[in-house]
Amino acid sequence: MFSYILKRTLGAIPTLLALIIISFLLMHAAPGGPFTLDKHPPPEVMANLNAKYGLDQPLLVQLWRYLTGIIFHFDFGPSFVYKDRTVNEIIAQGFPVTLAYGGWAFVFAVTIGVSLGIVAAIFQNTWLDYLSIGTTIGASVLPNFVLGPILILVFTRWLGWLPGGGWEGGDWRHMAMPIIAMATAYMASIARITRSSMLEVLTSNHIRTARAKGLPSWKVITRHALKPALIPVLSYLGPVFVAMITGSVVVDMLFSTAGIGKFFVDSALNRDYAVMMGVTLLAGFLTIFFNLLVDVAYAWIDPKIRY
Amino acid sequence: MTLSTIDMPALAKRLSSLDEVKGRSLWADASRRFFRNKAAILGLVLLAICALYAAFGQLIGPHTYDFQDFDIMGDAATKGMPSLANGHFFGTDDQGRDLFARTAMGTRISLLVGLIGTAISVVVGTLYGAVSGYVGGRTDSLMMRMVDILMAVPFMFVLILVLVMFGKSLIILYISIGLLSWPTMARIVRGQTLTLKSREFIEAAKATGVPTFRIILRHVVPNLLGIVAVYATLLVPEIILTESFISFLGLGVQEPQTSLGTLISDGAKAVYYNTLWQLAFPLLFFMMLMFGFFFAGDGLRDALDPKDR
Repeated sequence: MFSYILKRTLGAIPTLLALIIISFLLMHAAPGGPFTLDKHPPPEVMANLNAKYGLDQPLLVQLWRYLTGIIFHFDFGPSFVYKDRTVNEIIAQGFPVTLAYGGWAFVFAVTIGVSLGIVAAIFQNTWLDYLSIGTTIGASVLPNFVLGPILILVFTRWLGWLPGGGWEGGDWRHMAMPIIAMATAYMASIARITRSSMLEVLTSNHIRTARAKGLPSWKVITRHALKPALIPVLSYLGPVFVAMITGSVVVDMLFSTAGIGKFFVDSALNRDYAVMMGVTLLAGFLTIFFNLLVDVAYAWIDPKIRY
Repeated sequence: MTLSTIDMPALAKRLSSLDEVKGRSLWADASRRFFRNKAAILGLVLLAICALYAAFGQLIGPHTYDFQDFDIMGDAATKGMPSLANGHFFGTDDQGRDLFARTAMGTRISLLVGLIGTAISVVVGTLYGAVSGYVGGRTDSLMMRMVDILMAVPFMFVLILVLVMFGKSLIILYISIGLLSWPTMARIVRGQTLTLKSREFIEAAKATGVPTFRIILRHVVPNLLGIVAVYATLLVPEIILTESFISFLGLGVQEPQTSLGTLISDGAKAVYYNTLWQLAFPLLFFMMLMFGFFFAGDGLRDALDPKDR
């Protein structure tokens, strides 16, 4: 097990390096650097600016500096637009907010999605099944940027229950709508996956044996059916967690929560490549990390899987 | 029933008069199953409505998508209501532009992005997967390793990065969405190619001296079409979703052109000014497209899935 984790971790390193190098090259292939402004400052000023940010060095030197900065100091460099701040500071400010509502959204999506899926599978072809499947189909065509405005319309404009935006240090009233907007579509997918894999497990031999030896129905499900049924769900969770962070771009725009998405959009509009790069790499790290975590959990849950 | 009760001569007569049993091909079988699936038919109908509207919507209405009615501008909440009398069937936006024509244009662009992006992704993914699976060995593991790396790249962020860096144009959007979404396709195709590789007809082609690349194009790829078709129908709504997301952020299609994502974004902001139709109509067509592709794709998968007989 340990050697498997080690092997997978080592395997992730080239992926990370490739990610850093590709995004670095992209950043430099872009027409118009961070200091191409409408005003044209005198050439000496430009030279000084370029020297300060190391942009006058050969490309390979710049790449080496960027790489070693990230690896040894976890330093993504200075922001090109906010002159007094580094990318790290910007991430440190936005990420906890994103993590707060993203984490809750993840928890809700998984618990509600799995329960809906199990209920639908156990009561297959009854009104309960149709109700939960209908709900999930409806929810799956409501991505966060569609659901968000509808939530604001209903809960802020018509009912006046929840504030339309802001963060206020994570007060639940400010968190409720971002969480719902983010969780719904993923909840739907999780419910569908759970239902179909639960249906498959329920017809398998070991469940028939368990029923035949007279176990009560709830025990058959919790003790024998649940664990194998959850394996396909598990493999879906790694990407979902990362998608929660992507989703923060929309949530931060709609609800003015100052998460990482806000900084990403701001930096995209200001051509602040350093911040964009930092956020992209962060998302890449998290993707790789969660895929690794899911694979390890896989090996732990299903003893048949050997690597 | 015992043997003696069967009227043997009559049975023989009936059998001899029966027509020859017609074989059913995979596709005939699949289409029969597809057209029995009510949800899939509903999906097709929804898609047909969207396609017709996207193609002819701008011709039906009396207004063009970029004409600004200055009488309405600034007072959209009262004068820009949907009405049959002044020809603004879906109302106008806050700049007095006709929403019927704009929604038609948005639906058209969303459909186009979905189809073009999927086409690029199908071509690249199929060729890549087929070559990787067919050639095998070290080439295969190297090529698949690259796919692994690409799959770890946060797709949406890179897409935004590319759009910001190389300009926000429709062409770049089409191409980059297509070029970023092929890895999953490549994986599926490779898996299928591995099982095809050892079949007799491939061996026959090899024995008669057909060059490798020709075998891939003429003998491997046509046999992959079923699985590729299924996956492609499921990819279209995903790409439409991506485009809408990008346009929602204001990084996609530029004014006065529009797409469903941009319209939804504008409509979302207009919620505060009591012009609900600005959100409702683009949203309606967006959801019809999504439902349509989901149902049709699911139906196609069920129809072609060999496990589900």
